[in-house]
Amino acid sequence: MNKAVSRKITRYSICLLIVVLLVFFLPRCMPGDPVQCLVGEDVYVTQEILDALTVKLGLDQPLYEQFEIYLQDLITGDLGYSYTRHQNVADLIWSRVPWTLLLTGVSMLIGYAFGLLAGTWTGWMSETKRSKVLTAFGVVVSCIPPYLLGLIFFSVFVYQLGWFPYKGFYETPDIFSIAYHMALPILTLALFVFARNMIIMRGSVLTEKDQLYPQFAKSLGIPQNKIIYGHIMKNAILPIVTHFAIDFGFILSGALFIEIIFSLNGLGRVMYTAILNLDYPVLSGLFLVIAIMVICANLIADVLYGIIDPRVKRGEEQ
Amino acid sequence: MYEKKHFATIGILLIVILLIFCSGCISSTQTNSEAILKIATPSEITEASYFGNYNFAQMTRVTTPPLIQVDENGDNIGDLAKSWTVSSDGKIWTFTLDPDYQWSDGTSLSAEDVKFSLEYTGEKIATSPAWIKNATISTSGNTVTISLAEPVYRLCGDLVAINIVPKHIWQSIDTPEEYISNGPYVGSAAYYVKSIDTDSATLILAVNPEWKGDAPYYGTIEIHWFATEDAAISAMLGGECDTYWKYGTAFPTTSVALLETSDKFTAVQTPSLKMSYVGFNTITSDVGSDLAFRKAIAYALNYDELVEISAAGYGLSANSGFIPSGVPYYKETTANTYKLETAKSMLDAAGYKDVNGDGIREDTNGDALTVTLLTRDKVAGELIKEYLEKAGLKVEYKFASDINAWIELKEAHTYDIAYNGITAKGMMMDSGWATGYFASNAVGAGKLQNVDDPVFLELCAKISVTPDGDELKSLISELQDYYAEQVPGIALYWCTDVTPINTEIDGWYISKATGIYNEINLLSIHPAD
Repeated sequence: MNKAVSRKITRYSICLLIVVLLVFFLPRCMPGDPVQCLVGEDVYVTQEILDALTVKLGLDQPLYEQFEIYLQDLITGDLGYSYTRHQNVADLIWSRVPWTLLLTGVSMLIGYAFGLLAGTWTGWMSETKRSKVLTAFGVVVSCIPPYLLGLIFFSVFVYQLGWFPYKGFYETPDIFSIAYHMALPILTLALFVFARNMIIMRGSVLTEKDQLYPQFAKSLGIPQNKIIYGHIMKNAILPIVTHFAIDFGFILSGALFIEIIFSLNGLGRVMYTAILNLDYPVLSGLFLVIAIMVICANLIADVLYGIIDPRVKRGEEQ
Repeated sequence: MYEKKHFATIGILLIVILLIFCSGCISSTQTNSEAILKIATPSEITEASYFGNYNFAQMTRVTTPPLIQVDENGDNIGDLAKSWTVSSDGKIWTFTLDPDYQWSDGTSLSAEDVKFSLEYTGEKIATSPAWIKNATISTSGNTVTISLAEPVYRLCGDLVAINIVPKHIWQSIDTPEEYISNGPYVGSAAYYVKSIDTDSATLILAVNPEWKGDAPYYGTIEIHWFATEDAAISAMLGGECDTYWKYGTAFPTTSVALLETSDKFTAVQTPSLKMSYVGFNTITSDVGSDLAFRKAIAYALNYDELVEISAAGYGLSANSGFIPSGVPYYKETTANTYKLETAKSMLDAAGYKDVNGDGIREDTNGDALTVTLLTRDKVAGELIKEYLEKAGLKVEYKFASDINAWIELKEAHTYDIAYNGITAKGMMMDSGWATGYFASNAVGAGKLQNVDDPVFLELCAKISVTPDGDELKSLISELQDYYAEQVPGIALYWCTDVTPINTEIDGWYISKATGIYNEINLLSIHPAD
């Protein structure tokens, strides 16, 4: 057990180290000059002002020295200072994280819950007409990227029908207003998550239902719903758990487009403007936080695997 | 007799008083506290930072106005300053403040606030104009005097962008760019910032109770920002907002057709200071530094088609003198015309002939004449590529998909010809009259910096220190001749600004610099009868 845990810790530590290296160097490989981005296009500035700004931002130092400073700051929990937004990166990220987690978290919760149930049902009842229609619907929706789904929903439900608001997390900061404003963005993302998970779950259930144990359970007189949701679903869920870990990063990037379409000031928008403005500290900080979230999701998936399928745990112990 | 005269005098007096009373009633609008004007904009405020966020600073220009503003013709007129004078040598500028402006918290606005604001901006904001640091600013009563070390022709242009803020509030804030507050922000004009909320993407302006000028009709102005232009336009057309505004640019010409589908909006067209052009790399490119080649290319471009396709019809064919007709000291020069055969014969005469008959000209070394075209606009870029190919050139096409790629490519001078745009503000930056886009000693993301000709740089230097007057007029005339004769760039078209006007509202006033978002407009608009 200890050996398995230490192996996991080593694996995730190496992963984190590579992530730290990547999040520092990748944004700096992008073309352009962050100082020029900072001052804008049609402004009157002298070379002296640009030079002074470069020094102020620490961009005059060699890259390895900048990395050294970055690591020192990171150890103390300092993610740096955004020179386009004039605030600490950590403060900036933490102020936006709750909103993005609300969007992605609720979407994933709804999408996974309904995706699992619907996937199990369509897998078990695969020969029925209703199952085929639902499967076809799932295939179509999962083929549409979230941004296109968002644009279609925006055009129909916001612009044409006027059922949902155009922008923002709320009009007045109360629960009803937030729910009203977040409903369509959450629905968009949740529908996408739902469709993907339903298809995966369906395939997994199709494999499981041909095993001997469901037939044995049936012969014992166990009710069908208990066989489906108590035995088959539990065994068929493993690919979904794996998918959850991989999906987490994808959902966050999907949230970026949803935030742009529905004018939501979340993490995705912060990332978008940071890319446009070459705001290195914000990009590094965001990538790091997102990478840590994905690593945590993988860790959770690892733990869940052991709980759901004890054979995995036994294999690790051996 | 005496009594008759007496009665007549009293009668005339009464009529005069009545007339004054009536005219007063007509001219002064009552503020309707329930009335809300909603403006949709894609200019997003990411932080509620007055000094730290560019878009917020632009939007607060109507609440804490600068000394000077730009009117509908593009001329500088008084804003917080009622009037101003300048000494003959251009070094002493004296501004007299308008008493209508008072801080919304009841504090009197004084000349000390102006002095403080200028010095505060100079000290705390990294990109503030350099002249502030060398100027002596003094006050006397309600006048402020700026004494400059050297004349600065663009002083008014710079002052347009410096908000005058309350000293009693900001003097205790040491790092203004980091200061974040959801409001209220004390203002001095007809409106002040009541609140700002980045989560709901809304900025609310309320009527300043201390304002002494004409009362605005709308009790509240709401500015709603959206992540994209399309979303903002949809909100306007969908009835969520009353009008549309974006700082620095007009309504997207590609969306004008949408206005025609609405009964509520109409499009108003006004000549703009913005324009599109191609610049030649006269520094490191062989063909770009060849004047004969540049002059030939000026005949190879189909200007009318560029207006129709690239500007969606909202533009005017330009002249060889480059700068648009709305810019001060504009003079008539030869119109740019498309004459492909003339271009071809000029290229032949310049030594770029198609010797081997393969349809592509050869350069002086006998190699295929390949030009690298750098563009930030795909539509215009494709058109220009086609024109150059028709003239017998082989074109290597480089498309800069974003500002960062553009900076990388143009800074490295990896082009022979580059397509670029000039903004209204950019037109007058550096030494003004579009020189900032050409001069090799200018710095900035949007600038090509493609001319290092000492004659041009000297002309720019002279313009920047010449006070307004006959001498400046003569220098600008010389500059337009330089553009026409030396062809460092070719103006493709002068833009026409399109503003969507809500027909249910009257009194629209469109500033050349800031469109509908200006103090005059906010005071004059009211529901249509």
